[in-house]
Amino acid sequence: MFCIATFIVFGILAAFSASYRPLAAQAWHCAWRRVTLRPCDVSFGEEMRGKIAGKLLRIHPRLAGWFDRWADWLSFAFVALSIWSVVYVANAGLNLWVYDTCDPRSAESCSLSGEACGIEQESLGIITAVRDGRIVEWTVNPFVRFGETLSRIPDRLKRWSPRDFLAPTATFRSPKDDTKPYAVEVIDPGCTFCKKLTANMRDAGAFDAMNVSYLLYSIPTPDGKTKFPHSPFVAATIEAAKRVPLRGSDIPGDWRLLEKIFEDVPGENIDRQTHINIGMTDADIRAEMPKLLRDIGYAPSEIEQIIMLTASDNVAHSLAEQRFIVEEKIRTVKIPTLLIGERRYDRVISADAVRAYLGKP
Amino acid sequence: MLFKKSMTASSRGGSFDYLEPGARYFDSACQTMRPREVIDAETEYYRAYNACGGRVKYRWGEKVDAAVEETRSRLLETTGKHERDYVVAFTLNTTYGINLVLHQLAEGSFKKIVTSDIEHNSVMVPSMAWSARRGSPLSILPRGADGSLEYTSSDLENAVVIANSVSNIDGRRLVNAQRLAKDAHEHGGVLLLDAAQGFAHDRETLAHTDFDAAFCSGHKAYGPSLGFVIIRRTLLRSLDPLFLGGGTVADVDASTYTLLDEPHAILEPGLQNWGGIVGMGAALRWLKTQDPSHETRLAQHLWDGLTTLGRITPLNTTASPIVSFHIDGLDAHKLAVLLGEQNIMCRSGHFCCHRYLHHQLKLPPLLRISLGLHNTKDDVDTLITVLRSILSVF
Repeated sequence: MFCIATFIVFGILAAFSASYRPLAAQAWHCAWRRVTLRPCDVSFGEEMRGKIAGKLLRIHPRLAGWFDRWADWLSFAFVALSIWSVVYVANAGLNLWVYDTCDPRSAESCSLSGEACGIEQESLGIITAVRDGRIVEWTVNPFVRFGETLSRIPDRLKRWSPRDFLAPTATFRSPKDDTKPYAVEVIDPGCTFCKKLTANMRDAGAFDAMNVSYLLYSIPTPDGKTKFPHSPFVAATIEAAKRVPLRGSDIPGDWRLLEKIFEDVPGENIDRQTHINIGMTDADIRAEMPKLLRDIGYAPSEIEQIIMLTASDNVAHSLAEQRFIVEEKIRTVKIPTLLIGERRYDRVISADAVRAYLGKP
Repeated sequence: MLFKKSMTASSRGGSFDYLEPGARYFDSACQTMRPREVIDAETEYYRAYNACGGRVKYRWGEKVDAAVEETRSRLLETTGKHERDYVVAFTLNTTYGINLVLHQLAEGSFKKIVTSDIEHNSVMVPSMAWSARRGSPLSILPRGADGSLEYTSSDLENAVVIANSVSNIDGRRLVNAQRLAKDAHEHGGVLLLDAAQGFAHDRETLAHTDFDAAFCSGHKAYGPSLGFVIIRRTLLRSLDPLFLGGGTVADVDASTYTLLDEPHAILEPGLQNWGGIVGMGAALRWLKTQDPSHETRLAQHLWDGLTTLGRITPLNTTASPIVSFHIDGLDAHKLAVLLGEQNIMCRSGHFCCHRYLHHQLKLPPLLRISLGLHNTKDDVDTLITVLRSILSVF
């Protein structure tokens, strides 16, 4: 086992320095015999052990003796950890390619993933598993997740047609024109990255050049709530606004309301989205939404109608349908998700990237 | 921590003052340290009279020729031989010299080859090869605990007898060398001595033995890396030369050649290591100034120290400048590495004596401590201290 451990160490060092390559070659020769269940025919492993023990001998003889006695176990642990690390990194790499995040259960914890709000899933820790008697589940979970990742590979390779993922109640930022391409955003009104993507779409001119629509999705949390506490009500209000036309406006009322939430900076350098997310109670948001509807031009009776609709089965059903599209068809693990030009992005893309799709460099 | 005191050695003076303080070199059986005088002499050759020997008429060349002849003479003098009977030829090393002579022995001149069980591969393998090539039997005779070759008269009948005069395993000496030479000659044989260790540790035996050829290495005797053969003129003249070329012929006509009338020339084909030969001369001068009892005292001190350590199984039965042992439960290679990390340099393995140590005695790899004239009592004390500490934790 020590040979294998030394091969791992010298293999890595040799990648960066030629001076370690002869040692790496020796270690490989030794390790190869080991992994093919033959005895190591050179004393390389012993020599390396001796070298480490010899250095420890100068510092503390007993430590050298301890190292020598436990070197095989230490090597075993080192090799096991190395293999685990390689598997972990490979799995993370696969996740990054498939999901655009190293860890689909906690997308925001991966620094390599793009800007997005993660959709957190339950993570069963060893302590919880032992406490709740779910050891088997804890053991098989990594394999289940790996299988799930493999099953998502076709999603990564397929061509996405935004039109196939429109909400039944879809509205478009500009009047729909079938000669224009389609784009669909998956957004949570509370997600700051959804706001950013929408702004980039606007800045790139996508609202005029494409039929841009969206799917409302309040990011759920493992405890049955939502990531942004007021998102369900805000989403319901936006969905309800789709049903009440905004008179005298070319832009649908739901889009105006969404833009109001995303773009307003009502004061004290705090934008409206943040204010809703962290500065409001349930009562506050219920008082705030009618004000916003009024600000964008709805009449009091229309506002009352919209507020009534927020609690309707119709809106709830519509939101459920959109949730179904997001969770079962698009199957994203983080949003915003943007379907554009046969491609799919599960993160914010820049205005320039959007322009590239529009042929406007 | 433990070794700090013992590792901070004072630098040694004299001919080895250049050695790194704290370095303890115990592998003189492989090659000795070179005295400063030897290094200086060789360096001087390269800087002051870097010429070919034996073929040029300019001043530098004449100086080289003189130095080479002086080295030949000193080698004969050091081994108590006279140039009337013996010739000195320079070679690459002991192994090369043995092969050079063995394979040039005239076809049919000897009917068998006899050697001993404790031989270095430099003797064992050429003997095996000679036997196979000539279709002549090979006898491998035992050596007694005192180092004597155990033989009967019939063993020596028309035989090439080849054996070391001092073993590189445990320093055993061929104590019956004189008798062996006499018996070999009486039975129509020759005695060839591997004196690779003997030249450094036991020149007395060489001086008192009527050998036919002795093969030595300069690098095991404080000289540069070269070999030399001290060979009886009659044997040299009987050789069937195989390796010829530059430096071996007086003339070459349309289809034949005339060999030089310098006997050593047939063992010295091609250009020689002139700088090395000059350095070897300096090594011989230096050796003459050394106290021969220093090594003996140090060997006894080493033996006394080693025998106080538990778990050590030595091959030696008495003190010797060459001591080999193994330790129950501690691989010798690992021990050598552990010592190496403390800047103590010893050899581990089977020391090119696989047949005897590995296959005959079935021993694990051994650790060998071989002393040289550069070693001090402090070196030995440090070695013993470190060995004791290692044995306490491994």
